[in-house]
Amino acid sequence: MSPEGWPSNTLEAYRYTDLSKIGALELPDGSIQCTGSLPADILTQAGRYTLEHFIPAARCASARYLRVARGVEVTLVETLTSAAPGVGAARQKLVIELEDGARLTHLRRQQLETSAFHWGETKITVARDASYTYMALNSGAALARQDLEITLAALGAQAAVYALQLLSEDQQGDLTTVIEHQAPQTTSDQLIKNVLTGRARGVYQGRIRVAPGAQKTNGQQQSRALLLSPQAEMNTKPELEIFADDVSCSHGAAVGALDEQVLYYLRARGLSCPQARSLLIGAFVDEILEKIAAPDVQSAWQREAQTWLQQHA
Amino acid sequence: MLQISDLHARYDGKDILTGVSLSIKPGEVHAIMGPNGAGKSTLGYVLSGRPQYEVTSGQVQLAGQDLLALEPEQRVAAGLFLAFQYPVEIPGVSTMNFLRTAVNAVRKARGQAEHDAPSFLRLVREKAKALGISEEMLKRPLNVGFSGGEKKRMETLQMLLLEPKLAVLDETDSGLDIDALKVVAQGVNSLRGSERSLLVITHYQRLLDYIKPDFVHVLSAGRIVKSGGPELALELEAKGYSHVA
Repeated sequence: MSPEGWPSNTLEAYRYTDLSKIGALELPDGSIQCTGSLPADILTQAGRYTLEHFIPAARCASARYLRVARGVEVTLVETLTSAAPGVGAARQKLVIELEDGARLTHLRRQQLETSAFHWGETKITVARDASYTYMALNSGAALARQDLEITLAALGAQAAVYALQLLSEDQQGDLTTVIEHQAPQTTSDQLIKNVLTGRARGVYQGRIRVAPGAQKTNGQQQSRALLLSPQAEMNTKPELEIFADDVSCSHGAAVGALDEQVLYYLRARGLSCPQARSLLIGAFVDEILEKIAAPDVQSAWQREAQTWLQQHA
Repeated sequence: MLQISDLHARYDGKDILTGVSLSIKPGEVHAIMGPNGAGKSTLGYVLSGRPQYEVTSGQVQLAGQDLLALEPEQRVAAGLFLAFQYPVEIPGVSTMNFLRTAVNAVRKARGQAEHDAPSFLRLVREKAKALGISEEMLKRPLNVGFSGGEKKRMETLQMLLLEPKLAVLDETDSGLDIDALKVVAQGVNSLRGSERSLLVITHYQRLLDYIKPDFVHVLSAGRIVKSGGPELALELEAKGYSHVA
């Protein structure tokens, strides 16, 4: 499997984050260094595996295929890190198939240098009674888009997407999800949170598609963004395409600043302005972070979020 | 303890306080009564430094400090506490975490040692129990899903933990049934002493049956128009504000 290069303008037409301009950047060619503990492309042993991508200051791409065997329960910790300072443009693709009853928790940390450009594509097919959980913390890159395409292909397949973006200065971060409910009694749940300051732009474009006949489907989607500066911007767009009549689907989007009344209340209890802000933003991000089942990853992400808050809140 | 001199304040382009003067000595309990729209809550907000409430003239001293020069959190450190009529709900912030953050912030600002987690837990449990606040409530997000009475108990708990020199109670009786009112009043009364003062803002006399004031003032159209002893509250209850103000 090889990546096909950067997308064209035509392909990008309906996106918020146009990546075609990255293709025009003059950069040397390089390659992504991938390390980690994955024993093979087909995972037959339960356990926890790592997949680490080190991105050079060059144009580069990588692609990886994984399959989780029937009934096997796996955690995959994926990280994207810059190998060197300077401008890099990395395209990275991951294709995953979950066999019947397989369970995958996918924890993805994107912590690239703020000079980097990144396009991540993750495509997952979820078979009967299998379950896929995606959790992400994105705080890096000048411009990054993660396209997440999940196909719930058979009865009882489940997906959950919980993502947190912390962006400052001129960063732009995009999460575009497409969840295809192809079979009956499939469920999906998404909670996307953005904390944006400076002139940062967050994007969430989430499509839920329920195929004809995919009855008793349950698809839930929530996007919440906290804007900490007047120039920060959130673009959010739910797209529900429902072709079955016995389904439960909902979506919600909220964009706002910290509540002045609440800040005042906290100050009237002795908290300084920074303490009050940090308590409130901490509570906002914790709703995502507390869903992480792996305690060491959870505490690492909590520390990183805390550091970000101290610098930017 | 508290010295308010000719205080004028404005909110949203309107003059709300039009010359309030009031002197409260250590250990005294004063009640401010008045009709709706008289400026009672504004007085509490101005004392606590709520943004957008603009003081246009006048002075306020708390224990010798110029209160109006301080930020809201510095006023708390200086010994002021405002119990809110409508405490805010804060989803995601556990009550216990909030209490510890607040108390330690204030202790630090006062140059006192911060509580460690076990000793703070003991302190909170003891005070919460006296106010009928359950362990389960302390674990919940602050005020989220609390009844009116539970919120007022929580305000009272915060007041006891923050050990103010002057506590301002803004309509603490609103939303309380008689049993809850007794519990809250008992909590407030436990704070009374020769070194602490209370300013009780209320629309009704009822609360003053349980928190006995030394002085009663009537606030009308942004000024104190009448002052007297506890009997003034009974007179107001019998004859109404229009008779007095």
